[in-house]
Amino acid sequence: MIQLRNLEKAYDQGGGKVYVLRRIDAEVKAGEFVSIMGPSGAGKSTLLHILGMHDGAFTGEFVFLDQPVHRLGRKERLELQKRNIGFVFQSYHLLDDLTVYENLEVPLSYRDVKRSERQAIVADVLDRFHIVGKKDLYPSQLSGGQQQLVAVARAVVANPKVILADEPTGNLHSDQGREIMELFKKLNAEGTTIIQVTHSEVNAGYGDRVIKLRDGWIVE
Amino acid sequence: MTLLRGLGQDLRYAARSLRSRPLLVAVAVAVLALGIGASTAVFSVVDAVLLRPLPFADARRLVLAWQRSPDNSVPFIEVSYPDYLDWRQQARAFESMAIIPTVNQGFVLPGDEPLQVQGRLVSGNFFDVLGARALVGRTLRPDDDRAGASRVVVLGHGLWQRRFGGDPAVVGRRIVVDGTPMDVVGVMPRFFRYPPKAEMWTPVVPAIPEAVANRGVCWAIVVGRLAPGVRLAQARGELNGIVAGLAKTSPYAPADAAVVTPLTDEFFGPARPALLVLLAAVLLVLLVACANVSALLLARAADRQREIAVRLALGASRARLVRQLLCESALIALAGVVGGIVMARWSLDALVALVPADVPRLQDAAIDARVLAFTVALAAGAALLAGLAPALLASRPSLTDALEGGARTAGPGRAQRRLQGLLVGTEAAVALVLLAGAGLMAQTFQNLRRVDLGYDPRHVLALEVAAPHGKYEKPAAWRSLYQRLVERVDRLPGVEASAGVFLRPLWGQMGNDWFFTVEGQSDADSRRNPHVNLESVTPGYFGTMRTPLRRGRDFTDRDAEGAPGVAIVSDGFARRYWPVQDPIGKRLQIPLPESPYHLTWLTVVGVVADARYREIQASRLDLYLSYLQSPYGPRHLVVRTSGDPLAIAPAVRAIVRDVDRDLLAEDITSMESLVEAALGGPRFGMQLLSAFALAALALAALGTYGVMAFLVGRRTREIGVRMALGARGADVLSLVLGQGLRPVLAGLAVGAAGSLALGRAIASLLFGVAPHDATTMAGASAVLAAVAAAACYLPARRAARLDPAVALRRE
Repeated sequence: MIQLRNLEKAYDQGGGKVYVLRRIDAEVKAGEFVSIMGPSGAGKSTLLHILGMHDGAFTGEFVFLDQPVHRLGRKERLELQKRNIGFVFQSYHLLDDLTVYENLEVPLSYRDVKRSERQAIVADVLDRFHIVGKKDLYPSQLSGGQQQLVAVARAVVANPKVILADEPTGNLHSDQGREIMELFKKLNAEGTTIIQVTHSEVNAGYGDRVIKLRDGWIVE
Repeated sequence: MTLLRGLGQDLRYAARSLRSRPLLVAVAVAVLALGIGASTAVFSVVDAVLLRPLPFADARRLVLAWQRSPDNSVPFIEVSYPDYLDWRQQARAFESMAIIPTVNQGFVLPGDEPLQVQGRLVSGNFFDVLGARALVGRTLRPDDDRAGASRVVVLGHGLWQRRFGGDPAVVGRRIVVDGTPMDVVGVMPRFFRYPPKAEMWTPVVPAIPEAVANRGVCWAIVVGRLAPGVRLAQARGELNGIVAGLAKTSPYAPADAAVVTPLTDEFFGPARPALLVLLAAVLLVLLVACANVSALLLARAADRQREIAVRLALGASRARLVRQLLCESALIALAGVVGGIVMARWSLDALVALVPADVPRLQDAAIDARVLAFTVALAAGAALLAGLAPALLASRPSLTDALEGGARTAGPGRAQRRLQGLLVGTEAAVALVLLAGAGLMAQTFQNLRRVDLGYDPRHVLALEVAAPHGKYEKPAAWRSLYQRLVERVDRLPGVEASAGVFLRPLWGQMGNDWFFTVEGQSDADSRRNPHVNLESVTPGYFGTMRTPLRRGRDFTDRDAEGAPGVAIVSDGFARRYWPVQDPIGKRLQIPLPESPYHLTWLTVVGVVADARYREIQASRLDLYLSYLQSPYGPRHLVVRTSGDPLAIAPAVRAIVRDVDRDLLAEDITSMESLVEAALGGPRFGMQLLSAFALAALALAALGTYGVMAFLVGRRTREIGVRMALGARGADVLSLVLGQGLRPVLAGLAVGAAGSLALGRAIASLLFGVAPHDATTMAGASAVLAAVAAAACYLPARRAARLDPAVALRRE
């Protein structure tokens, strides 16, 4: 599903370059649950944002579902991302002025899904995640765990092929974190490919394999 | 449809988002309402006066024509009726021509309450040439305009309402006008008011058969309709040729060239440039308001980087994001429209009261459908202008930076700073342009107030003594009348002196413009003399008006018919023609048809100060005749009092009626109010430009403060780092102030260029001050710089007092 060949990312600084990612070669098959680990500054989040197509400034090859992302223009890249990828952030990043229902509806609205269809899909997701009773609440009225739950629901509402999660339990306590990881496991069992960035060995244990980064290089 | 999909949702979210920021929304709405409201009010006046169709068919083809001397030393020479007939016959560039007198005349309608109305003698095809139709009955026809034809009249709408109760049955009725029975044949519509203030039109040939036969009597101008496809220059060229040809054969012809000018120029007069400048000025205020709101939205967008990044990460397209952000500015603009319309309705009456009363169609100004459509278009433009740049900028965040919860560098991005600088600079530039314009108009007004009028208008009552046509047309008659009037008025308590004059000062732009020849001049030289302003006055006029007598003497009752002809000239006249000689005893002659003094030598017996007769801005060469030696008797009475001149008005009116019941005391006013009215245009320009300049200055200060406060807030960490590295408060102060004032200084430079352009645009409205006056520019720049510095200082001082430890802990 995902192939990276000699992928690199650098920033210009002074007269030279500072590399954040160096000669990344990796592959993720459809249906895998992969964890990316490494110390702070290793380039984990940078890699995740490149995989999520938020960042198009890299060199090397990135093929996603047989599409050469490195050759796509910004618009085409975002279209590809919109159709196939859901993102879960460490800080949840729910939209504060929207209710839970509206937060789930937003990705569908951006995909030009008709109103009646949106209503059906959101209702289904609310039910699936057992948060029907919270649909009219605002994020500020939810606990951290509940917010992350909604964030995960938002990530899957458009039925993506891949979920990318950046430290999904970083701001949660252990019970809440466990719930989220169980949820990811379940989604993966249902066929969704999951790539997560994590510091936690426990969280990494939910996955199939680990990619370890250090100083921008894959070391394992 | 794809574009509109989700629009309702975006509007709902926009409304909800704005509800959570009530202070920002209130400020933005108030600022926009100010700009939109002021623009709407001014536009309603401009629309009524300038933009609405004139009550003539195809007004672009209508022109006015008169004559001038070839070297333009005499720019305005009226046309005689025989000349008009020749023009009509020979000119191919004109589809049709009509003739009208240069000024309105008074017509008296008798009755228990006699009424004098303004009207014109016109050729029978006058209304046809204009393409104007009657509301009731018909307009004049060429058949009405024949020698011996029965007298007919067309009434104006206002007169029809006031005097005849709006009764359509007035058509066909016979009324008495100036002692002459006339049949009313029609009534004009409400919006037909041409020439300005005319309320009655009657054919010229039956009225003055002797004048229309005389080629030497020049009293009119021509109204023409150009033939289709003919340009103004063509018509002018052809008419020049006709006039030159007539000059070769006529002993009377004073002119060799023609003036052809669009009728609309004369119709609007100086109102057009003045109103257009004001409209431009108020739109500049709106521009500043939009820049202010834009800066507010930009600051708000900067606080929403995370939200915008999340939306992009969730799949929003940039266009969709921009649309969502524009929905917010659209809602703000909508609220601004509502506030603006309320403000415009409230301020329109006050605005109209400020506009000089002689501006045509002013009374039609209203907030109607056309003006509302303009307002809505303005608001849409304002929403786009204010919201687009922030929306475009905000919709391109660095996703990774925003999503990871902080920027790598402290403070706003470069593009955002540049846009904020551009907004502040724009506001400063516009504020400077308006300040400079207001400064120029203020100086103009002050200069005009300080002009030596050549007379003292304080405590002087002026009135027209209107007599029916045919009465008081000989010197003996008006000698008797004015002797009785002056004698009785002088006896009133509080009256110091009174006198009669043909046309009082500041009666209008038109008057008695006369040729003359100074003894010793050749024919060629005398043809080059400018026209003189000819006045007839009773003895004591100069003393009543306190016009200084420089040399010689005033007229006396011995300067009467049969006595040697005498004249009094103005200072300017004497300096021009006898610069080194004593003017007393010098002689000149003027054509005075039907007078025993026609082309006789008149001896100069006195020199008086130059007087501002037609307009305050300039004096002309004045020539005074004794009322007993002039073919034109006095029409106005001037009365100097020791107190409020209007207090004696009822007594003066009673005296006039008592002396002769057929007389009317009309146009009773104080000279002081006439001077104030003459200053009305410059005052209006000064007041409005000053108001706009202050508004722009306040908005610019608000905008500068807002941007500075925002920038300081965003750079708190950076400032903390600098202070931790050793920067003192003064270093931080100068850093922040310097960066805040930089766009202001750039704006000043651009504004200086704009001010020069504005000065050139309003040059015709200025008096006694150059369009590029350095003092005005320097003063305006200093004011703006000081206000901007004050606006920057508060946030800068806050920054200089930051605790580094607190600042460094801030995220």
